[in-house]
Amino acid sequence: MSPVPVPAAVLRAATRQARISLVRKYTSAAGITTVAVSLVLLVVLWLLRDIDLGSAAVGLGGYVVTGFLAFGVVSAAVIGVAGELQTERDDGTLLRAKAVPHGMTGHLVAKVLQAPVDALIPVLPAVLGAALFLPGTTPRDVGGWLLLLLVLLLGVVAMLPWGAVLGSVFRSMLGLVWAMIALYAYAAVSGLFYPVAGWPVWLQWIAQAGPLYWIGAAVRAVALPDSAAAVEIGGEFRLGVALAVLAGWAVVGLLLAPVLLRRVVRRQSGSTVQAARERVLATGF
Amino acid sequence: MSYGDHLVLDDIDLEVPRGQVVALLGPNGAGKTTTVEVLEGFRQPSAGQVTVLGETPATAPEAWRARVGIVLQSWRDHATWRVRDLIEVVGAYYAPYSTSQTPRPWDTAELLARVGLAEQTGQRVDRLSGGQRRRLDVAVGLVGRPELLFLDEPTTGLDPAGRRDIHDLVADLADLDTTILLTTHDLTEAEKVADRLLILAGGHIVADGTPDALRLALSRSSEVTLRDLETGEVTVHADPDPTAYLRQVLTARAGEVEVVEVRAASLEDVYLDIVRRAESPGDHVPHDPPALEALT
Repeated sequence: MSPVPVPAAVLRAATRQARISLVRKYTSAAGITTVAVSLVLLVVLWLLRDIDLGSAAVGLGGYVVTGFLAFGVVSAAVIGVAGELQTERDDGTLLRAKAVPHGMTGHLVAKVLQAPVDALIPVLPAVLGAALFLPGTTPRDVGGWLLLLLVLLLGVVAMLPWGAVLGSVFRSMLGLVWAMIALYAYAAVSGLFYPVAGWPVWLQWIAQAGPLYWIGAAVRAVALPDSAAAVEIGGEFRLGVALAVLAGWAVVGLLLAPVLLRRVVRRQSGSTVQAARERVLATGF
Repeated sequence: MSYGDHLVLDDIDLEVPRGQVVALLGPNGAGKTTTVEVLEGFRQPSAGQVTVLGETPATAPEAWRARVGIVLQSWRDHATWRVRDLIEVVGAYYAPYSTSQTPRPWDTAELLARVGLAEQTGQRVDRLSGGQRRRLDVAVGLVGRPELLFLDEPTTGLDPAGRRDIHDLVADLADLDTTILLTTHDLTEAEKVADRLLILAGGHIVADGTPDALRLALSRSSEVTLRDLETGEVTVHADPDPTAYLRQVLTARAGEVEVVEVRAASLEDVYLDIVRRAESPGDHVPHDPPALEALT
């Protein structure tokens, strides 16, 4: 019997792990609910379609479509990864990965493969619906769609370490709820759902300091018509700058995420999993 | 080994030959978990040297991991997966370490049949019973055909049939020259499956020997139960020389004793006695375990 090369075996196992996790998730009631929420949002977008944003030649609905898309990515990469990390630490998934050869590498590869799909599936119905019923809110050609996909992938990778940090810092679901509230607040000041150009300059700088603003800006630049740039900072889409900033954050993410995940895993042992089990039994979370 | 200023393990000197089945016993807080986690490579010892299968566990390469199997009692992972999927995905990581002598991973259908889960291959993990879940954990621990297997209370939650299956499986693995270190609170189980018992108390190994040697050591101490004829008071006394003790009592209390019962101490009696002496403040705690092997 000839042994399988390590990278091939790890990639094969990780791909299968990601595929099974996604199938199990999106054939469960929780997964289907996530997708259903996207359909509800589509109705909201439809109702908002005629509310305009002053000088911009796009309705509020269009702005919200892009904001929803960007926030879906952020949410999947940050809250999704943090929540999964917390669950996996408690139920022994991470320890299981640690106990098998190259298991942690495979687990990390699976997460990287899973995260973009996990980010896109919940927003897909809304995006497809917007493409059909809300003209001018989605890319107009194949190149635009591919660019949008690139922006979303960069966004996921850029935000992954944020999820890893939150997942390693907060050791209970209650902590994650607070983290979610903080993320929503951050999203609110990052101009994902409403233009920040009219806000005080200092607040605009705060918004631009993190990757969230740039994810939203890049998605809007790709998806909305040129006339929508009027409500952007400086009155123009800065797609090049946005892609460069996101690429920078993505590099930081790819360097930091494995380090952070390994740090979380290093502390894992049978007794920590047992302690987590007892905590859940005692407190319910 | 210490956590801060708290010494958890002290002066542990242990060598386990290949193919031996060792049961690690001890009360809660004795240091069993820490010992096992150090050996598994999940915990870095603060002092001392640990070598498992020729490597230092905490820094061992991935190839070392492929030779070690771990079964914990607290795993609840991959709850929505199918049994078959979990075995196959975990097993895939062992494929690079397959050799003609040790083909890895274990064939899924064969492995699941071996642990008694042939009927559950397509079932979701969270729909397994407690006993079935234990069997699955054992199967995952075995999927890489480990040379060394750590079993953490492998039969907890199993019915008698399930326990017997796991005991038979351990015996089969021992026949295949697999070294097994299991922790358990069940002395009967330890006696049944293990070649060697290690009793840990207060961070020290306080007894180390075969079940027969331990029993023999225990049989040196018999338990004498007396019931007073008038008061009905029952007195229990453990003594290495029950005959002399009885002679002394009957001479001193002729006509007062109604019932005399002498029995050899059970393994449980011995275990409790060893642990009690080790944990009692002021009592001498032997750092060197009793040489029970010499008694066999």
